[in-house]
Amino acid sequence: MARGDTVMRIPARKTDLDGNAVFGFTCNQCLNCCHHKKIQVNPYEIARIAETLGITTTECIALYTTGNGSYLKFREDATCPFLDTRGCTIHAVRPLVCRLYPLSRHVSDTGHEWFSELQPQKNCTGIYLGQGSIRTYINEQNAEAYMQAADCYLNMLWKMMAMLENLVADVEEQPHGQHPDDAIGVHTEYSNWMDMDVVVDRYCQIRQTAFPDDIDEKMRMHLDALYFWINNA
Amino acid sequence: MNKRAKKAITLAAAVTSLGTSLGVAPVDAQAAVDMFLQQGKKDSVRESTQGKIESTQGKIESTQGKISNQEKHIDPVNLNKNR
Ligand code: SF4
Ligand code: SF4
Repeated sequence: MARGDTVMRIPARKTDLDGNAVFGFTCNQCLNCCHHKKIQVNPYEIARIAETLGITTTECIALYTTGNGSYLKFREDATCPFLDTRGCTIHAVRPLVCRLYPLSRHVSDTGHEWFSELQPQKNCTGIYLGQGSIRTYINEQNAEAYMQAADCYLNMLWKMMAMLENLVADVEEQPHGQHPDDAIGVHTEYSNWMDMDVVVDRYCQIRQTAFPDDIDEKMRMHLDALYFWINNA
Repeated sequence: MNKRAKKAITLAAAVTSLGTSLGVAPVDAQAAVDMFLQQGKKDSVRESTQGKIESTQGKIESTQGKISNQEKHIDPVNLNKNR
């Protein structure tokens, strides 16, 4: 299958760029790129936003996301829910895609990473500098921790997809009977595995450990819980 | 539907949400659920998992064609109804 068959197609003017590619950009905060966008948010990003807003991830998902916690829920006027007249109200914890813009990042299931330069936003007042590198730009945007978190969840996603494929094969082999492993508890009690607070809270109860304050630790437990779930099904 | 089938559907829903949040088109999850609900679609599942699956992290215009792909994602509400 050619690259792109299962990939989001994005309007890029350059792609297949590595971190050393020449790139520099100064954003002039005109906020045009905070309209009419799909802003993907993973559980780590939701946890960061929720902490800043002083709410739970459950509340954050319900109030500000769509697609079961996968995207920010834009307002009816097509503006981001975190945009106001002063600009981005969650700038310090803005999602990775907002940090990267006007770049996008791609990661394959083998861990290969590359970048694209997106087509400029209409009426963008930012300035392309023609110097620096993608890596420098990423550092300036404090995007590294967000990329690492995305990679942690991506690794989990690839595992879940492999597990799903095995389950599908298994079920087709025994479509009407009970599988021997059916006696093992099936951990389907959560309606939303994206909801870090709910999953970690339950996991802490089972493990009889304290609920962590630190988001990195919470993310680690969330991933542990997901790993436990897919391996004990 | 046995427990493993239910588990697969729950897992497919989780893959869909997580995949979407990471910019991965979760065609595998869609194909898997189709198979459970309609039977006989194993080939499509295998085919969709053979591809090099990539994650794209970028701001995407909500008016781009990609959106129609995104809207094909499994709706977990409807999934729950089928359990
Ligand atoms: S989170 Fe902030 S930077 Fe990102 S689209 Fe919303 S307002 Fe703009
Ligand atoms: S449209 Fe360009 S200048 Fe305006 S906020 Fe976005 S990146 Fe910055």
